Amino acid sequence: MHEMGMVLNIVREAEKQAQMYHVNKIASLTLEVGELTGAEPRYIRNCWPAATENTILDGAELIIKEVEGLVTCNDCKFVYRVLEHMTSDLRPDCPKCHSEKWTLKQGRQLMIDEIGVIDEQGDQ
Amino acid sequence: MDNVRIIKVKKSIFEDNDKDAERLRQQLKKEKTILLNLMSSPGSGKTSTLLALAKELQGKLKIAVLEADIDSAVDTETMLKAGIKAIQIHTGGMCHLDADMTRQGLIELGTEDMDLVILENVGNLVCPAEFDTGAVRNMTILSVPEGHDKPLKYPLMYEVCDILIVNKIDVMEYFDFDKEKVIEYAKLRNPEIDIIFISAKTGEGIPELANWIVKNTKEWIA
Repeated sequence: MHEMGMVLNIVREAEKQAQMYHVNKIASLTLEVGELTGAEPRYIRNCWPAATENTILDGAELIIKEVEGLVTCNDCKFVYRVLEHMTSDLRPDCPKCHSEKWTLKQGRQLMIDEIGVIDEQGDQ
Repeated sequence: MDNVRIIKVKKSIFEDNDKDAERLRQQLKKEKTILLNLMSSPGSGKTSTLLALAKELQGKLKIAVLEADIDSAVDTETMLKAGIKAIQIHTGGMCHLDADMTRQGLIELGTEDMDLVILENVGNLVCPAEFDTGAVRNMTILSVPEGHDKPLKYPLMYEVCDILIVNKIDVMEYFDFDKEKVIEYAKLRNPEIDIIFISAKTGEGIPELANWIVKNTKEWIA
């Protein structure tokens, strides 16, 4: 399962960040998921408990921010959501000029936006 | 009460792997070895295409194969039987290889005097496209029975590939497969992509594909 590999990468990164900031408990992690990545938010949620077990993220809340897949039309420069504007045979279709050529603006990221860390009392 | 503090990370989860892949490419450049990453859906003919290619490249390039599979060694046995240097990497349930797993495989394979290593990636059109393996060129096979609209359905695969190999053209007449359309759709996603039509079974197009590999290898090791 492909989301599993992604979540394992998230765990690795979170452990690095935790080390860097000297924290030993993470309460939450906010993930930006672009709708043009191959990652399905509900599958990420499904494998979250198993992938984070006994790691720094064990028990941490996962917050997913879904990011729309926006493209800029190469011909008329109009910005549109590509998944909403396709012909029946899946070709991109600019709602303004019907060009099928576009350049990606956003929506392919899979990014850790922020983590909420717990500073235990008397620890600082 | 414990206080929750927010740390802004803003880091892509692919970033570390992308950097690692770049390091692997630099190392391969020094060693004068080209690594090609071959991707496709299961059953499109990766293994039979490799067998045909190895035969065609005999005497031209020293070739080895890195077989990635979730959990079996069938393809490696096929390669070894054909006299091709090969090893198996098990991804342990994962649907793709990353740069570090590829590096481990290359070390185990031993690539010092190899000109060309082909990585036969896990059969899948989604995940392998997202993880840079450190390969110098990416290749994808699309077989005729899968249909000409695959580039529209799996755009990322075609965007990251340098060449599209259309396999099983010997059965084209039995399928509703439009040659012009597959070219159009693939170029729509990636105008730079090279496209070669082959049949691993009859050998048609294999010399052309071998030439593409030789040309790219020469460019890389120059």
